[in-house]
Amino acid sequence: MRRSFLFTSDLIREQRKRGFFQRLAGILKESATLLGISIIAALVFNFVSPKGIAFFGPSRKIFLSGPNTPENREKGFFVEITDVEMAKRIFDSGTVLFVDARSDDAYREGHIKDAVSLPYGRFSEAIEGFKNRYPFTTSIVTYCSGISCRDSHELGKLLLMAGYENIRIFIGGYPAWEQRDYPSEGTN
Amino acid sequence: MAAILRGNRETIPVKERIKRVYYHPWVEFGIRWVLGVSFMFASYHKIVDPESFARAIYSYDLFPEFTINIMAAILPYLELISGLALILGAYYRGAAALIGWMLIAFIISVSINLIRGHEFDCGCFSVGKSSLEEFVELYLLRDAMLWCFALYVLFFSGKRKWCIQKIG
Repeated sequence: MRRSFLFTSDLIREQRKRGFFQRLAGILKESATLLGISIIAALVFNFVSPKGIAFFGPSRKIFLSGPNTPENREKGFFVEITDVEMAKRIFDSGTVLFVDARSDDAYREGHIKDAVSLPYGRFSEAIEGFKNRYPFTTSIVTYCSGISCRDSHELGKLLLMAGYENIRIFIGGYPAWEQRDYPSEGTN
Repeated sequence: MAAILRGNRETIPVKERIKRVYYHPWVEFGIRWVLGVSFMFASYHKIVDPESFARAIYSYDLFPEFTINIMAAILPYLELISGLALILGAYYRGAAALIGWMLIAFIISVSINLIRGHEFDCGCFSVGKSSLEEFVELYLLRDAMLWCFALYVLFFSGKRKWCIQKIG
């Protein structure tokens, strides 16, 4: 009697266990199917969409970048300075104007030495003065507060539309510059 | 009639009433749709502007660079397809499980950045907004709630309304 009771409970336990694993397998299968569909959809739409991004490589590759050719400039592509040391070498050459795209307050607190403030948010009111001071042939490097900030790119686009030809974006921005203790100015 | 209802109400224990609500097909339907619509809505701006979403993932400062683009490209479609599956009632358990994992990943990422006081762009329902402009704690609360919804849909064992798939 005791034996058969044990056997029955074992059987129930076994059935429950099997039911659990079956359900788990079902959920995993469904998840895998949905994931597969999503990957295919992402591949297809990313390929077709004009806003598609490169699948691999560092995130900065997705930003508007490319060789500094007239065709790319026409498309609104910029040359990106991805390396802080490269930015420093450009700074040291002394032939380039660094333009700060951040707010006036952020600029006052600290900016790359000799950089000019042209906040992206106040572009329309500030551009005339900027144009009077700097000719269209000026080599410009825009920057803002790091790779996750887009103002330097947006400012680059606006400057390109305003007529400036040689624009580069320093994507590390002021945080990367400050971290290396490169020449800075400001209240902080 | 009113007396019968009142009498019934008095005799049904609270536990039983909660059980009835929990197993009610329309409750499951409502929660499944809320979850599905939320995720479909959340995926929209990421699909339209994957670059900004990649930037938002980057600003979390948690993932290796080579994974960022692939995440930015696939995650929005995973959200869209999972949301659609929940609404249609097909592969809903798989969709609920996926959504549950996505929410856990998000809750952990936001919490880490909250603890270390790192400014980041949430990228949840809109991109390009800094976390300091809004209450991050509210994001966490909302996601914890959505996570409970996902678990409910995943483990619900009663009858489901408006499902293409009739098993489970």
